[in-house]
Amino acid sequence: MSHKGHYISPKAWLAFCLYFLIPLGSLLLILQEYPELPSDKVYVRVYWVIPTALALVILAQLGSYFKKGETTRYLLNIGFTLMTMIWMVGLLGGSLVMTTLWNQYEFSLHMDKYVMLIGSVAALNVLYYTFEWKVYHKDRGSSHSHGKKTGTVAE
Amino acid sequence: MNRQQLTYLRVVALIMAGLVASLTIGNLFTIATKGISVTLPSEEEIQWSIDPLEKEILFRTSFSVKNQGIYDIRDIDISAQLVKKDKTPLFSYVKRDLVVLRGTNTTFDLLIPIDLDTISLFDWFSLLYKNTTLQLLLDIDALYMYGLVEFTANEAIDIPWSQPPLNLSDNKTIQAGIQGLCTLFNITQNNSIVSLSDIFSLFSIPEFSYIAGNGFVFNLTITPFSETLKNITCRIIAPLLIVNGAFEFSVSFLVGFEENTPVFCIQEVGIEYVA
Repeated sequence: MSHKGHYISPKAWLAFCLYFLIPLGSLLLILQEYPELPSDKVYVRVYWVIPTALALVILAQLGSYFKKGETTRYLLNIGFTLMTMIWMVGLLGGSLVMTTLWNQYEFSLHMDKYVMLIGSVAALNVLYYTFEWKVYHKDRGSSHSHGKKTGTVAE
Repeated sequence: MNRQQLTYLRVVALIMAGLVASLTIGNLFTIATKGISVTLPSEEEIQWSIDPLEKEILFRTSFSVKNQGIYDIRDIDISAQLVKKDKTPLFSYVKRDLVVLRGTNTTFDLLIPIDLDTISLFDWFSLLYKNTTLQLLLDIDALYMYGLVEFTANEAIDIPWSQPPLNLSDNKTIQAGIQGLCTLFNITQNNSIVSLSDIFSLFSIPEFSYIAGNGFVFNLTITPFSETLKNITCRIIAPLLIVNGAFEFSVSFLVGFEENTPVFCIQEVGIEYVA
């Protein structure tokens, strides 16, 4: 675990902007611009976005305290990816179909292909984090044993 | 896997994540700023007219799509179905592959011709002589954001239908006769069992002939078929106001009793446009 004082990592800032600030602002704008929309549905999304986005920011920040190859960092990264999916599901209203009313007419947005794309990107990220953990964990192990070996010789 | 390959994978993952993030944010902002809206026709915006020359009823309506988003709206498919009160379809209409480009406001005019030849005679007759409420079932599908988001709208719009100005006669007897025929057709349409009182009321219809100065003709001819059965023939000629022509409608049916059971059966039905 590395301690670099009280700094906020770029990933945490990015997570704060992408998962908290922009979506929350957009949702509040939707509430204001579309009074005809059922506000309770938008509020449910707001209530969902706030805790999940904050969890994402915390996970991103915690991840920065650990070095690549550390199992805790790997688990935090996987948690971050999974939390992103949970955040997305909440933003979509808990289903793949977003139903809303405009001018008294009901419209539906089917997001299944979109969610599939997001899912595949998440899978790609999980794959990357796994490889990152494997490569760096191995390197850390070898450098650790190399250091031990060198120490023995020096002694 | 070495560190170099891992870097490549990281770049790909970051590009993909960035792409998804930009799609999401762009989409969310478009909706939040009212970038996309669809206006479906209201009851008042659905108009119809009758074209006797083409033997068509024309439905006119429109819907508009405002797309100030950053992606085109493609593959817009519209499916419309006009149904009667009892959900019997009168016609179906499909229009496919419409496009609303980004940054445009597009209004689609729907001119829906209903060929009267494709409508059953009973439906035709009830459209001409009855006030009713029709329902326009509208299904709209569209693809947005390179087909990643599918948009659907399913609406049922009530259309109050009033009979066209074909009943040129003010004569109460003619109007009652037409009303009686409507009732008659309702009986046949609903396939309900004809009651004894129905038969008695039809049995007691008097024979009459009416010719108006404007060419409107209503004839009811009653001839005995057997001791207990009557053959009733009705002929209506309805001249049209807008063009020089008329619709001629004739129907003959048997009414009465046979072996103590009421009989009602249509012998012959015909309708034609006479120029």
